[in-house]
Amino acid sequence: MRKVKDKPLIYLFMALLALFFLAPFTWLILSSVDPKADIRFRIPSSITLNHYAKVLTGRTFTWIVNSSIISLASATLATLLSVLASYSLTRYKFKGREALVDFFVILRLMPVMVVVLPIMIIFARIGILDTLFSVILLETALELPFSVMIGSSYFETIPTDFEEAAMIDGCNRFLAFLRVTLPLSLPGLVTIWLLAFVTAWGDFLVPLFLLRTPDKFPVSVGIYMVFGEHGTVNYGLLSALSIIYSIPVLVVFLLMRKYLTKGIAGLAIR
Amino acid sequence: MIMKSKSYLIGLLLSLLFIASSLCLGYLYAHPQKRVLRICYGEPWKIPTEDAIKEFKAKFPDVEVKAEMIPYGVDIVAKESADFAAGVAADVVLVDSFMIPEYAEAGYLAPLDKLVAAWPDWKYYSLPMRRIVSYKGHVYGIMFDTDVRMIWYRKDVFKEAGLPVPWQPKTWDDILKAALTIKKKVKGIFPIYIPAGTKWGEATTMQGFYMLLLGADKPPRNRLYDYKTGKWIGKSPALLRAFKFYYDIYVKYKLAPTEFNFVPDVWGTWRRTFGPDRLIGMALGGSWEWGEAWGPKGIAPVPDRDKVVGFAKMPGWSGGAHGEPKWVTVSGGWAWTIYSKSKVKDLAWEFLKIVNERDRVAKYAAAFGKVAPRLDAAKVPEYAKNSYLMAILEYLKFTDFRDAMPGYSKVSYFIQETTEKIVLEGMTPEKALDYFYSKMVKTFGKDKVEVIPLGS
Amino acid sequence: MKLRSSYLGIILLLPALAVMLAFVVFPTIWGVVMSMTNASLVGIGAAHPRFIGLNNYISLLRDSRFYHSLSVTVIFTVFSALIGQVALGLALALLMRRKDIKGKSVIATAVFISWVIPEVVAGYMWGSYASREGLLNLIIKALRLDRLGIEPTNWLFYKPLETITIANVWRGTAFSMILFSAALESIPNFLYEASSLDGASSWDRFRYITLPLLAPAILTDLILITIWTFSVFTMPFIMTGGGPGTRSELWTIYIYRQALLPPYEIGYAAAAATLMFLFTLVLIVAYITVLKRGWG
Repeated sequence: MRKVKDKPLIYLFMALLALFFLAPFTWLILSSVDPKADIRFRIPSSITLNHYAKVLTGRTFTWIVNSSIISLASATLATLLSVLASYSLTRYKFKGREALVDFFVILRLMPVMVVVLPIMIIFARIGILDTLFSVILLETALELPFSVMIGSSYFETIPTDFEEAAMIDGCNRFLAFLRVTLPLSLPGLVTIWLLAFVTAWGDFLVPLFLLRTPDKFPVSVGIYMVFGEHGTVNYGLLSALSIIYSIPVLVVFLLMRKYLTKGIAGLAIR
Repeated sequence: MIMKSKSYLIGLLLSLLFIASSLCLGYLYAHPQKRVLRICYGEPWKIPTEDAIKEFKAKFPDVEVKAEMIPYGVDIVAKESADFAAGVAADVVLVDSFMIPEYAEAGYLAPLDKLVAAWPDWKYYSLPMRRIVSYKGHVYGIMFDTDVRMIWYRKDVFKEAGLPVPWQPKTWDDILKAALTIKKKVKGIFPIYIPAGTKWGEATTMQGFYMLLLGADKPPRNRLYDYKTGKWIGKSPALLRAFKFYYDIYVKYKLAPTEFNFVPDVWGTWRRTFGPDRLIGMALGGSWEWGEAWGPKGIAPVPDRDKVVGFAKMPGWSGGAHGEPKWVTVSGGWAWTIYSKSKVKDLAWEFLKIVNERDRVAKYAAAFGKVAPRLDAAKVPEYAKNSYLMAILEYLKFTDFRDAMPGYSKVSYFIQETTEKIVLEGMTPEKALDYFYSKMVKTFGKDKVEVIPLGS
Repeated sequence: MKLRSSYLGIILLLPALAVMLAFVVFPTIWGVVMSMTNASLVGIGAAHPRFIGLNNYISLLRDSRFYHSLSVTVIFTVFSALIGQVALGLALALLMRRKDIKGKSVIATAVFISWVIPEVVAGYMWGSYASREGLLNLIIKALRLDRLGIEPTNWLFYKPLETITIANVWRGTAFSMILFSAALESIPNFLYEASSLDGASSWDRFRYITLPLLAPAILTDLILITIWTFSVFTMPFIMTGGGPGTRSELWTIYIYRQALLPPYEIGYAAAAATLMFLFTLVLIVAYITVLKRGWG
């Protein structure tokens, strides 16, 4: 076949692509080890790891702790609730089941901006604005539709036969679920938990609206706040914080890349 | 041997602990009515406050002092406001002077009129320093940490442009002429910079706009608030004149760097471009920049700072010829106050006298390169040997303050928005004034916004 | 699969449903109620909001800044999602199919990482990248792009909308790439083999085989990324904050600024958010319909 002539052209295209996608990361990485980091691009004349050490102290560390609390709590809550819900959706039939599935799709695709504004006022009224708790609640609610969708698709792959066999063997429904279905769907649960975790971990909009006190901020809002601060921005520290903050997300997504690709492929071929 | 001495040591420590605790218990028993003074302050003022507490304890050994330091990273204003609102504030509170009207209006602060009247040191506080801490004719605090604003200029740029150094403009025209000369004579320099737009936030209003407004008409027409009628001023010749100055330097003559007002890091960019990068001829800015930004340990150190960086007083628009102040500056800062519900106001006042002692205030100011709020700081050697601080001490005599009445943050935001429209869209001063006025009327209602006729 | 009918099913659903109703559905309805009041974050409107009917909507429809934010959002969506991400995603997907090209996985990983890295971090690094002394300008100088009329500048100030649009292509292309790759995989190989026997050029094959068979995937992609791009907030917000002035003020940023900056008009912002919700709802319903009907 012909494929020889266009090869140089394709490699040129790839070089441009590499430049386009990789260049923005350069400054982030260089400035995180540059003792004299600045918003300007520069090649560091010496290299330091001080910024990374400093991230783990003071308020930047507080922000990491806050992000962890929010993400761990909301991911766990979302997983628990979605397991029950998706088990129900795949094992029982009741009126409005179809509509419910549509409803989850709508909730999942709805812009968060629409929800966050009234909820700020509601939370202020009931006096839980500016608490980590309020952020955890809303993050959980926002993660749920997606979590239920993943959960349902997992439970669907597990035949009811096993469960029924277990029930014949004398287990009640709950035990059957606990002994048979749950272990089989463990990878699904881990997926739900991890995706919910990184969703909350990376979120900015919800804590931006719901939190006021700097020592309650998660990393995302902390970075935003420092970025515009009174002229004393320590870009080296901020870049190191950004990198440390990105690591859990990158690890999770790179581990789950195949799974995500499969999920998106499901949208394409129907 | 080692074991023996170790257990010996532990035994000694234990018995010491026992003696100490029984002494404490006995002491507490003997002094059941020990009075407590609670003091709340932010970490930036740790050193002078702890020093004052030590002195206070020596003077009042039978008073227990509970110091509550708000650490870095916590919003001090938010924390103190919450404490006041919840009724759990400390007896002595170091507050942002900008919040005094709001706190006083809410009844959180104890008036200090009689106390300061009998205090010999009060005379060393200039009239403006007294007015910052006053609300509706009553004194509520004592300024501890303050600042002033001025025109910063580059001596090297001025020399290159053939302008005199040292330089002291007498009118706004002098400033404009100098800037035009720089534009003509020195390439690659933005002749003048005044903060504008919403990105700068409050700095646009305080570092830029107030410096113009206060010198744009005779008092009290040179403000944003009319204290007689209790209304905001939505339209006035002073507002128009101030907007026009923005228009002239940013739009008409293109002397100022619009772009610098909209970079992600406005503070860092301004300090760098005026300092080490030498891109700006002159600018309106705060007194702290000398040390904090361009000093040897600053954020953007300027080699040979004393030779290349100069400063001048901001004049009134016609140099006082039309009744406006001859010189203009504006101050903010932190003041010691007493909580209105405190049960130990006498002790609180004793502490205020100690913490605000001349030497303590002057030494703290000198150590951090800040202007001292007391004029007699000049008599303290640590302060007097710093020629820069001595030079700006004079500013305290004519300094002024923001109209921090309830609702001020909205007004300030409208000012920022209006200057943004001017510098970005080239909005004319007249249209800018209309825009500002319409925002004010929409927010506060027509009956709460005053108009001073433009022809008057 | 056999489904049982039992109340237990509903009981198991309840906790999740309750959380979503309380924290997503109820607030959305509450937002509609708020949009008919003069609610405000501070001052009188905060303590005692008054019912003012459709007044917020009327003044919204008279607000030129609202229309401006609308057109900014449309430009942003059309260019970054519909053109940028779809075209680049398709090109990348086609590239990934070429077995004779090395180094594809590096590109794919880079595209993927740009998509998953936290948005705040992405906005932060683009803030430096596109600034006057950022790397972008150095690249422009090195590649002598001034010959094409691309001059180094402060991109965030002089070309804010263009910059956030390109940054969003950078950010979101991965999704289209993955979707199209999967769709391409599903095209049977014999179709291509047959066509090359017929002597069709590679363009012909793309035009008459790949594109038609890809159409359903492209439609799914278009609807989904339109919905998502429409509600993008964080990265542009970190990069330009909607500025300078209102030059890159997306709908979401407009709502944020109306609500959380003076004069803090929450009711007014809620009206804008409600309109946004209705618009998105139309798109989502279209998506569900397309999804259910299938492609066929």
